[in-house]
Amino acid sequence: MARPLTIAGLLISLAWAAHARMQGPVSYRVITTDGVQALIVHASSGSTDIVTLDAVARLFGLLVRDDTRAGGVVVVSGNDRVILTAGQSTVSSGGRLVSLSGPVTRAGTTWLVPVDFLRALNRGIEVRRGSRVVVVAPATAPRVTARVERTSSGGRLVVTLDPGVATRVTREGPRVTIRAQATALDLEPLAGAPGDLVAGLRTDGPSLVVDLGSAVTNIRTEDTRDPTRVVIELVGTPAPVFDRPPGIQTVVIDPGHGGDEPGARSADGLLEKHLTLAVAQRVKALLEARLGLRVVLTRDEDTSVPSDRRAALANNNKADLFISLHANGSPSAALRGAQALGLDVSDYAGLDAGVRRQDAPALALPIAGGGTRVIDAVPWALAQLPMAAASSAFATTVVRRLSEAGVVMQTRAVDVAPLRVLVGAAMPAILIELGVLTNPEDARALTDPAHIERLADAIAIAVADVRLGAGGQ
Amino acid sequence: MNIMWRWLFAGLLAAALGVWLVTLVLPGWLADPQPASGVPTAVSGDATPLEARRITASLFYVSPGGDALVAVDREVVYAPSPAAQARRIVDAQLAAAPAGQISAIPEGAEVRAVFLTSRGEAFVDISQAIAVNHPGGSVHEALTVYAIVNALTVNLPDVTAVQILIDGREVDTLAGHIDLRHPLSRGLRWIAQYADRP
Ligand SMILES: [Zn+2]
Repeated sequence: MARPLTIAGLLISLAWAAHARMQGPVSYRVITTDGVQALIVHASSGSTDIVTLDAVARLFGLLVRDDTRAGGVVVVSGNDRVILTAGQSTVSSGGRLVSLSGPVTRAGTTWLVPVDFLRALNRGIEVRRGSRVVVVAPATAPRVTARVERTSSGGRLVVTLDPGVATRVTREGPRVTIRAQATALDLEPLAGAPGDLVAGLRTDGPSLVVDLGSAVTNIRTEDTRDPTRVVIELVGTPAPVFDRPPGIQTVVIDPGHGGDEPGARSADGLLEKHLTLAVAQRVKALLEARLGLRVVLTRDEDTSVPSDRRAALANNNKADLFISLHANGSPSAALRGAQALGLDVSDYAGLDAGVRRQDAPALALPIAGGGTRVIDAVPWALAQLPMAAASSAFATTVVRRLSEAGVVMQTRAVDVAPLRVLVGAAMPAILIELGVLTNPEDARALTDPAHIERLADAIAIAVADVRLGAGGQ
Repeated sequence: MNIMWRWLFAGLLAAALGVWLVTLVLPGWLADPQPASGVPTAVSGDATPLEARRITASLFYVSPGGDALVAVDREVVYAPSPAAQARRIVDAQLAAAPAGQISAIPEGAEVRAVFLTSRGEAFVDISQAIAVNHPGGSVHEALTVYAIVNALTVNLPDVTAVQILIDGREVDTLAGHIDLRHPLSRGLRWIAQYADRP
């Protein structure tokens, strides 16, 4: 009897832990002129965050004394005395009543208070529940919001500060720093920014650090004469708009090789199968976040997948694009550069008539998750043949975006070959060689996370191009 | 007990013999036995014994840039039938590269058999080292495949397409990229002097 209960308990605590993680940060950033500290949230409800009185006392050097006669506790803060009573939503602070967002409670010897209790301490403490920030005067932490918009010449980053403070903008390579005259910054997370313009945004003390995207070649800071606004022009190649036109909904990405097929290998032992999976996972994340596409990987671990199953997964998911990721190897160490290849159809023409049947009947096939789907029973063996032109256009788009991102390309950057994995794909399908592992420079680049990000970003932008009709069909 | 094993052994032997007959010997018999007119004729004088006669054939090695093949003229032992000549050419293509050239063929790969069909298709059966020892990469794999395909289709006009088999069996690919499930025709675009052509 004890064992099932233990397991149930374990599952519940796991579920709770997962739930807690989904709730985001579980502590407040307490910003003081001496630095930033954490105030752990003990529990959270819809209307308030609960912290322990002990944690507050430790943080602010308060003295806590039980007041047994009144059934409460007395907190000494400087010259003020704050009196708390269990079950009450008001406290007495220096003789005046302060109302809280929830009641003071007691669990055993631990006193629990709503986080806005800090306001009752009369120390110029500001509590921002939305961003879970506590600012203790004389420290300042302006609220910062950023947005990125596209323009004809590239884009624009608009940063607003509340309250406004003096700022200074500096640039070092792909990194722009906006330093504010403040103790720290309270940054609202940036969502949905086009990654080719702004690749990352974070705070570092009183500075806002902006990582420029690959499309940005130069920046220009506008003189706004307004301490609440910083406007930076992001000058670069006119980039695609990440709106959502119809067309592409599902992309299948195929990390080449896997399991007992390691593929090519660098002198330092980097295996093609590991590289292709890493890049595939980044491309998937970018396509999902930026374009809201459905992205399916043919494998998401180190397993061997037969060629037919890779294309079949794309067909069964009615994918609009199929991208097989590989890294090359050559007997000559001189060969380097990325490449995008389509299917060389020349040797399939003769087989065509024998295998494809135009009058093939429709079939109802069971699909994952229940139900059936009616499909045309045209054999998939040569499904790529009618797609060759669209695939080649897609390969050209990918090569253009990779070159723009500064990726070294092979002389024959767009090419074709009788590639086994593409033959059965019933949609525009290409194989991307991310670089040549047998070349020392390429091998070094392919171990660099920044280069992986550059490759993934360029592929994602190429998919966005196709989606707009700028490439592909 | 002993007798059962003996029967089992005899059965296996018979089966192996059957497979050998069907896959290797029969296609050779079925192939055109007439010396085709297209066999390169750079043959040394008629008085020379057969084994000493040579033809000049283009064999294919990896270009210095690593993304194409270069054709190199080499002497290959003459053979009286197209099927036998095809075998000699593939043998030479799989042998060590001449000085200064890089072979596209993985180490240890050996020809097991070559046979021709009346439709101009050559089937080249190679030991599994060509796949097992292949270092991978689509370009390397393409160069391996097209060195063999071109060695036959460029030198023997009777051969229009080549399918590579491994240990007598049809395979998907050598190293995960190039489709080997059907015969491939001459790939001029993999040869350096033609490579820049669209
Ligand atoms: Zn590969």
